[in-house]
Amino acid sequence: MNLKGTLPVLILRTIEREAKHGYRIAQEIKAQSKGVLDFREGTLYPALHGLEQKGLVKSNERVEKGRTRRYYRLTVDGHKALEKEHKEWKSLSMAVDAVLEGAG
Amino acid sequence: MSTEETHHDPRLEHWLDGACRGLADSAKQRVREEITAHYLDALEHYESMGLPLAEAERNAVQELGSPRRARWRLRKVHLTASEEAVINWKPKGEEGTRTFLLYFMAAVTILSMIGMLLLSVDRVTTVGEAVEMRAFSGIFVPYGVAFPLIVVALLVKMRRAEGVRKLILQITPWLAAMGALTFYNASSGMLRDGLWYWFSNLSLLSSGYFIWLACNVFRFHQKIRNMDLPGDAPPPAGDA
Repeated sequence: MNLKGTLPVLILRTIEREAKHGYRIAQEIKAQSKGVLDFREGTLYPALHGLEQKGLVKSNERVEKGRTRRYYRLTVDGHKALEKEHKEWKSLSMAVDAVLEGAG
Repeated sequence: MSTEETHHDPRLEHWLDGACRGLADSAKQRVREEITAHYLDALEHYESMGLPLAEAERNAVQELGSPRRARWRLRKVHLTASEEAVINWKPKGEEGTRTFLLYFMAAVTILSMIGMLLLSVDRVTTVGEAVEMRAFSGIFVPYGVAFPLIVVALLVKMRRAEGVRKLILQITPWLAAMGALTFYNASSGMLRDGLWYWFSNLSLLSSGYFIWLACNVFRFHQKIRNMDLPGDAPPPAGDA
């Protein structure tokens, strides 16, 4: 399914509780949506870097199993942005549902 | 296996070369490191599912998608090599050079104003008893020479890192105004001579160039708005 425009908010939600690296973020989005929200993983990093530039996430490097990984976590602004986006998404989703269910 | 030092997959290298082409070195290094770590995680995953190495490698690269699309998105959030060069450029001659070039920009603007004035005088010409509209585009011929110099002037203006965002924003309306001015001068000829005028008239080409430049400078400003640039104050400590 096309994730256009929704990937950043999905990323924010995925790292809401703990810092995660890119691969884990991608896998969790796919797993939680039961594979419906599929996307090319190369596009995850521009989205993460964009969120970091906006100050919504912060990152730091850790070495695990001899491999350097960059972990991303939410900032205070990131939490606020997630809350706002979530509310907007809920109201949009309810509105679309109302139209679709009423159209039959 | 499964460490960056010991595993080499030409497909991954090809993907990384495609995705990182043209990016500034710092961005390139960061993207390469992250994507390589991502690829190795994916490789481990596919190998743990019992896939042979070749198939696991193919799947891990396929999962990344198109390097072209990734490059397009990466260029939106990272400086390209040429953009980084613009920001870091320190011309010789310091204040004197910059002042000269800023005066030069002002002179080009004034020249184009004079061109407008000449055009308005020259536009209505009596041929016998008929009144013919004439475009006097010759005054804009020097633009062809002036453009590269204007671009240099813009670069010099942008070199002061502490004010680079503000300066770029100031340049944008200047460029847009120049574009609109040149277009205005050329448009009377367009109406008279048809579409060919768009391609043959230097004023119109100049106008398009100015507008294009204004759009790009503005886009550049939007891109670096939230970036950490050389000369920026360090971010406040203690963000959650």
